[in-house]
Order: sequence, then C-alpha cells, then structure tokens
Amino acid sequence: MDALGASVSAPTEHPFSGAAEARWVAPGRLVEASRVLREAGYFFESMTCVDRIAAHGVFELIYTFNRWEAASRVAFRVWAPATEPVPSISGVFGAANWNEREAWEFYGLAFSGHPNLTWLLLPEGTEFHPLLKSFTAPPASSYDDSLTAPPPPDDAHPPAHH
Amino acid sequence: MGVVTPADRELDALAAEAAPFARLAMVEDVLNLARANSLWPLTFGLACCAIEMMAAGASRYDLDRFGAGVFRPSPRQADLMILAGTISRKMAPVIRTLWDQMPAPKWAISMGGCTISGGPFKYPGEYAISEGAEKFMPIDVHVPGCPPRPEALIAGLLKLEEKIKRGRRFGRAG
Repeated sequence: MDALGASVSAPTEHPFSGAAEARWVAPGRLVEASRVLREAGYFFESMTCVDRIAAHGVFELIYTFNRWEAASRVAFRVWAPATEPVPSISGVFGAANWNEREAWEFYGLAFSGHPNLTWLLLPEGTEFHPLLKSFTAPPASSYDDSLTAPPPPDDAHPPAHH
Repeated sequence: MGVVTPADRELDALAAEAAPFARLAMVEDVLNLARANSLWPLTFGLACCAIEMMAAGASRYDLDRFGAGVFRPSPRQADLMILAGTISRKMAPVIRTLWDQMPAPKWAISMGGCTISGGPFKYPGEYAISEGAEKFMPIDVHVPGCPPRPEALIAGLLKLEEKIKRGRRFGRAG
C-alpha cells in the first residue's frame, strides 16, 4: 500500500464502512493503482457507480478490493467527469469486465480500453441509461421491438370439430 | 379449428346417430387422453415461481402423479411450457424462440402475476420487465399468485388437462 503513497487517503471506520482503507484515486492513475493491489495479492470484489452529476458534474466510482486476511478490504474512490471515459481496469482484474459493462449501460459512463463494452443486463440496442437521476421513463419508441410481433397462429391444439 | 369438409359433417352426423348405441373411440380422442396425461414440461425457470414449480415436481407434491413430472431439457421434446417467473425484456425473445422450437401440439401455463401482467413490476417508467407473456405468445392457463403454491400449479395443470381432453373428436367431455 505504500506504493500508493501519492493518492490521498479518505477516512474510514472499518466497523461502519467495511473497508479498512479508502483512497481517492484520480482516473488517470486508476490502472496503475489497481496493478499495485494485484501485485500485493488483492482480488477485485465489486464496483459501484453513483450519479453525482447534479451536485458535482461527476460519477463517483467506488472499487473494492480484498484479500484473505482479516479486515483488509481496500476501497478506491474515483471522481470521474461525466463526459470523459474512465480507463478500464479489466486488463488488470478480469472480474471488473462485467461491472464496467453494467456501469456503462446503466449510467452511460464509457470505459476506455475495455475489450467488450456492450449490453450486459439490458436488451441489446437499449439507448437510454435508466439509473441516471435524470431518467424518468424510457422513450416510447424503445419499447418492445421483439415483443410487438404478432403472436403465432394458434397451432397449439389438435383440430376439434365440435 | 381445422377445415370442416362435407365428409366430416357426414361422419359427425353418423356419430351423433350412433352415439346412444356405440362408443366410438376415435384416434384423436385416445391421443388427447394420452396427451393430457403425459404432459412433458420444458425444464426452465425464470424467477421465484420456479422454486414453487420445483417443489411441485418434487416428492411432496409429485407432479408425476399427473404424468407431468418428466421435465425435458430440450424444447424439441417438450409439449408444455410453464412460464414460472418474471420475464425481462432481454429474456422475452429467448422464450419466444423456445416456444417456436416446441413441436405442436403444445400448451403453455403462465404461472404467477409477472407472467400474467407484469405483476409487481408494472408501473409507469418501468423499463426492464415484459408486461405479461401474452404479449408475445399464446397462453392456455393462467395461474395467479405471487408466487402460487404448488397446489395452485397442480390445479392449473388439471385445468389444462381438461382443456386438452375437450379437444375430442366426438362430443364434449363431461
């Protein structure tokens, strides 16, 4: 963790936050910082995205890492400008791949260097980002491309004449 | 309904005439009896209703008593689709494909509120859940509940069996 010296430590209390240590990391240093943890034997646990656009114009990304020792969870907190892509850490921790896809489809936050930035949970081709605070309802035209197909002819039943 | 030819009508008239004296066990009649008592459901669950469906299939409720416990791993072998759980918009085209892959005659039971109308997920601005299976495929029996108990699924299955037996060639079932 000393190798992360340049990043700023954020105060945490393990019993409340679950993280032994949290660090503010600049988007530009994210990959480098992840690699330090990877080499120190940490694994990727999870990533959370928070929409703080209204107040600060940023997405807050919270990455958590852990290793099999007591109370050693580390959190990275990243303030990412809403308009710029964040460097993907999926090259360092493969497990981050799907989390980044999820953040991309639900918030519209792009990740640079991601190998397969495409829809994970929403139908392919979805063009809205439903977890943004500004989201209210999907545009009517986005509804049911496949579902509005007419039901098949009722061939389900053998012919009955009476 | 199939096409009714004059020959069919003659045959029907003959059957009606003979009915008081002879029980004509026509092939379709026997086949429908067999179909109703050996429904093979497709093995898949969508959400929490599937847990109740599994309970219905296991020893305590034992769907095998009704001949419907042989869950098939392939739509090519199945003639009953039990839609058990929430249908997301992402999953709906997959389900439709599975339904199209099942050979006729085939039937579908929608189990639980989600597959009937979207259930608790139907609200303004909802973006991910399909509001009922009937938007994209035909359903024979609806089993309401959230989720329905195994007894309810069995009741739905018996209703479906009734419906299938009513497809008999001559006259209506009881």
